[in-house]
Amino acid sequence: MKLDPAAVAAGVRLIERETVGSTNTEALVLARAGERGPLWITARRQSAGRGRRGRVWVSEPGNLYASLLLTDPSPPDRAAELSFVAGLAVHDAVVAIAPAGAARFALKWPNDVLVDGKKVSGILIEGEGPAVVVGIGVNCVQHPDETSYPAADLVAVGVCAPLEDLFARLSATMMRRLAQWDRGTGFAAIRADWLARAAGVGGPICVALADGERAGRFETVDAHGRLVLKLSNGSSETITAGDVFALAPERGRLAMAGR
Amino acid sequence: MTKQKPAIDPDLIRELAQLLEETGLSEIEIERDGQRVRVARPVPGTAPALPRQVEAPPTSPAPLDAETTPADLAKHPGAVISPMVGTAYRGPEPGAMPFVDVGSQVAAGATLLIIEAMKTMNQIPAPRAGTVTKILIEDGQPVEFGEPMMIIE
Repeated sequence: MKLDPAAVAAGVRLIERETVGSTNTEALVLARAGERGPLWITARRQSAGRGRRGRVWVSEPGNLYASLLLTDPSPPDRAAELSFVAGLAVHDAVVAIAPAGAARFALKWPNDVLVDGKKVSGILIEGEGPAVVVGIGVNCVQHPDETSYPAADLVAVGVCAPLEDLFARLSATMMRRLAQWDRGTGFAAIRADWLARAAGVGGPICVALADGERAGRFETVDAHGRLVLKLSNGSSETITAGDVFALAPERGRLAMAGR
Repeated sequence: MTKQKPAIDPDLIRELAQLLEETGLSEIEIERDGQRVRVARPVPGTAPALPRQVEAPPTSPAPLDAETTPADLAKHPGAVISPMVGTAYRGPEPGAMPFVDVGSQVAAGATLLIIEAMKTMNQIPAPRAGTVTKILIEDGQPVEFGEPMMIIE
């Protein structure tokens, strides 16, 4: 793996590993030992890749597994905005390697990248004191079949690029988006760019929350990045944590249509 | 780990919401039959708050003193305050053992909770060593900025 020269110039470092439990865990361990960001940890394979709330992230060789350790990236109450920063950076990177297919890529709240309506990337951010780790998985050559949301990989949809190129792009787009965000002061612009690439705004969605599911219309994301769901009784609910599914009345739950 | 959750009483919430409108207040909280309900609405210059139902803390050793409001608890020297808006989890994943329970001895820096906002998981460390004497939130409950979540003494 190689960092983009612009990232190197900005002081970003890279540690490459063969196999780790999880690149996020590895980054958190390094942070506890005193490492400071910005520092990327990549691995060829993860033996215990993780998703949201203890979910497994299948991590065989060939796909991208990378975590970016940041030290004090923003005030704590703005840390969640990083979700949108990171989602945009991954979207920028895949569009950069497949510019002709830009319209096929979209973002699903808060930070999944979709290709043709299927999930091709997942991001899990973990904060521990001043350390914030942005974990990114991109399905490049393979994807799991039995997932809660339909998955895809880049090769399967005709986007072929060496893993190294994708990572180098990502190291550059991440620095650009972090600079745009500017510790939270630039979130309005991040939000606008995110909305311009978002799947399903204005359409029906279903969100799985800790205490059950809600169905409604995906109004927008608010100034804090929360999902605003318009319920059938006319009221709105703002959501900070949940999994978004699309809802098509005639077929029940299914993948969000491509843009 | 199944907890008996009281059913939401939409009529009560509607009634309180109407009272908010009529009185011009930004927040009303009532407690009856061991159930606490707070309705709040945005006041100019603040983020919108959702009406929500809050159970009386089930794991407290004794019922909370009726005089003890969340604001008082937030000022408690052992209070663990939410640094952000999000959803609080008591364990690392659904079905897992909670990080701590009432009576747990914790070292400073030990993980007490995780708060999720927009798929960002923030570990909430113990601000000091001590014993967990009160847990004020339920697993999966929304929390506001500055809300007291636990007391460590």
